[in-house]
Amino acid sequence: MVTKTKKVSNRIKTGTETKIFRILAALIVVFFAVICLLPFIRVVSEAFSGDTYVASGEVILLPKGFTTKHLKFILDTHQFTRAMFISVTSTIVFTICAIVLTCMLAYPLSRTYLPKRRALMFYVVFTMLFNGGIVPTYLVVKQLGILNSFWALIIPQVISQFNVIVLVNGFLGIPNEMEESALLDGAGQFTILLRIMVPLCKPTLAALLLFYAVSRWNGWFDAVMYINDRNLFPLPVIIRDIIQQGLDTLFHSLTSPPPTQAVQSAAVIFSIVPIIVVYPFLQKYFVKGVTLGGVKG
Amino acid sequence: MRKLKTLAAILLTLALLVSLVGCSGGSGSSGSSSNPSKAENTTETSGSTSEETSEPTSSGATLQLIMPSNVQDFPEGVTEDNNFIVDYWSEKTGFKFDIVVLPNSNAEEKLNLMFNGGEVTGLVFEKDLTAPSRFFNQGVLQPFDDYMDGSFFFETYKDYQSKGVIDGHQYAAMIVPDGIPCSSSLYVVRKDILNGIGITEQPADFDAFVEMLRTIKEKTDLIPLGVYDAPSNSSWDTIAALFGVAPTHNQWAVRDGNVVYRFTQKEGYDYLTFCKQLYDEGLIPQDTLSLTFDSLTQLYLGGQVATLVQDSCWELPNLMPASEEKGYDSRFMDYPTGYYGQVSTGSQDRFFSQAIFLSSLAKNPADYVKMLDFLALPETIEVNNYGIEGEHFTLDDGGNRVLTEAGENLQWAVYYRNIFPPEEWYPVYGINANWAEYYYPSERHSVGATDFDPVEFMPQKAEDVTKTDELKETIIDQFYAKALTGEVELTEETFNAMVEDWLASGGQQIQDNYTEQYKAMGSPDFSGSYISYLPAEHPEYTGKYLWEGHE
Repeated sequence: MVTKTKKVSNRIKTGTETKIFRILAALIVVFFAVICLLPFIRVVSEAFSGDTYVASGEVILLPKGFTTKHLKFILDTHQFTRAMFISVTSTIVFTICAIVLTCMLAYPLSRTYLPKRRALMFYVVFTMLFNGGIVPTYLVVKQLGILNSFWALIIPQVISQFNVIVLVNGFLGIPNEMEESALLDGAGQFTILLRIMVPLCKPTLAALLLFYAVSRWNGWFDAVMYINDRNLFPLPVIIRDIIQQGLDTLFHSLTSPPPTQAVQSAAVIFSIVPIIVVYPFLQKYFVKGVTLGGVKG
Repeated sequence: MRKLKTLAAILLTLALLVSLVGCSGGSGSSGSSSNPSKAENTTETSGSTSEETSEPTSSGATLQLIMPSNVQDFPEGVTEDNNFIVDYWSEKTGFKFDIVVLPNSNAEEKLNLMFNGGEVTGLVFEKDLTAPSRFFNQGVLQPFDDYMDGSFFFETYKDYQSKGVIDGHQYAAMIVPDGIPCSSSLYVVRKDILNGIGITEQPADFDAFVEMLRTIKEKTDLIPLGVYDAPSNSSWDTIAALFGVAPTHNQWAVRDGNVVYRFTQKEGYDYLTFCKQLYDEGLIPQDTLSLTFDSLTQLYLGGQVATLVQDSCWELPNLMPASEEKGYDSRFMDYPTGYYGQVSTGSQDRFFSQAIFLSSLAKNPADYVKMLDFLALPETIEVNNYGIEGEHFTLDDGGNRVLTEAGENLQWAVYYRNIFPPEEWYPVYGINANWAEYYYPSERHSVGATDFDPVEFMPQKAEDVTKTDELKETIIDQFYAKALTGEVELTEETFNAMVEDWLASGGQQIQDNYTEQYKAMGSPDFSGSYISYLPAEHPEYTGKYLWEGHE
């Protein structure tokens, strides 16, 4: 009887520890989630608040003096809508090109029978670890004749070596038997890639798609360096300019009043909303994709 | 197998090197990727050679002009190459233009890349006065020496050109359009609060100013004086200048014929002692070192600060209306007279100037000097600064320009307003940009100074400026901040130790360099150069924010 009681007691004790652990873990996760969310919530609140409330630091979580004029102001700005178009277009084109080229490079590198595979892989890894630097890269872009063109936003960054390695490992995780049976059925390499490898690596590809899309959407440095035509500037460059105006010194910008903090917040919202809209649709693949590609191989 | 791997690695490395060399090959000779057809308003991408850019003849040659960065955007239908200003230039000179506007962010890196990539084949307008020195060191500039004789530009602005001489040659053409040699800092106060505690007059001198702060502390719960950052930084400009020390500008002075760094002089010690007194008495925020411009503004608008030093009037078009909305009676208080008789930053501060330099790849330098001459013509300056008469402005009975609606929307023209005499400064920026209400109050104190900064008139060597900034950050700022909060005891001994450290760390060398340059110039007295070009009349200005209203 005593022994039986002890066993029950032990089970209850273990369960309580687990519960406490889970509650603590949940609290910690919620805590960090709130920390991550707070700045975003504040930016949203500022975008919908009156200038005076924002300037005097009264807006913390909820908007005060609710107004949509800052968003309207941003939407009415010629440069903003133009930059949004460039950002959307470049992100779509870049992501498609990047995914296609990454697949086409990763697939052969994942085939163990590829001659000189290791040497080729070394070439990829080497360029990831030791890139040419900004001046040589600029010279390459110049020699390609794409300086100050839309393609300067696409071609120079179109393949990420890191993403190639992730996808190579993703492809390596697919059993060789599937390729062999497809070959026996008369499939060519392109058919195998498109019909077998790509569908089986969907999670990894979804993750890479997000990596590429986010990197292009947020990228501004290459645009500033390679492009002179302001009509080709993507959104992050314009956002930086709008925020910079608020920080700038008089003699740098002495022509009109700087945008208020609320206007700056409204600009930030427009830049992050598209990514936030897309993210939930890809999120289910995201963790799985990175794990698949990263662990195996 | 191991040998094969090694061989493959070597071959790949060689391939990399060869491809890099291949990429850089011809970049110099290809010159600019600038597209001359841009001047004809097409949207083709760059990548063409600089053949047209290098045309030796004036007529029809394409000149590349690289304009300084700013934040203004071009409206729909207007681009840097396609607007009435460039059309006017083309019509009058016969040149075509490839205009490049540097980005607002990372302009320095961009210009550096463009030079390295052989993309700069013409004239560069730069606000960074160390740029000529940096690019001279890279060997990518050519001097104007052979083309200066008879040049209208160089004749008109000859007084400034000593600042553009590097290694005995005129590598930069200098222009000083700023007609008001002072900073734009303002002292903003809550008049409603001050009146409420019996302060109805502005403090006439420095002691009265300090007494006013003490009264605020005694009779209210507010922080008497809002400042942020270390006392050696720009936010303290107004206070520092009362002691003859200006944190961001005017850092150098002539003492006994030698150029010295003001922060290391007795006035620096006196100033720091005063800052510490303010801190110890609780007259400034105790967390001043961690405050920022934004957080201090929030404190002011949040009703926690009674008076506020604004190191720039740039934010005032936002601050003052917000303050009014809060029901505050915010005004600009006059600067008191300092310990040394100074009238704060109004009397001695910076000149805003620009450097213009020519790429070594420009094969038609005479054409570029002709262009400078054209830009210096009064009629060109009028078009650049105000637009076309009848379309962008009209003349009233007194001969004053009155902007039309189209004229008021020419903010983008700022990129083309690089050359004009100081008399134009206030009309262009003070009145036409609707800044008079905020700008004029800060500048109306500008008077001829007697304690000038000689370095303002010298070529800015990049290495000296960089080293000065580095020493300021690592030694001056550190000591001033720590002494303020008491982390370091402030005595003459500790101050002198800091000065010794600064001198030994490279400060002595910089002082010697500047002294040598100053003496080579004949030890001139530049005080007469600090001339204010504020207009006698300024009808657009109401003065509603002054303590006493319009004067």
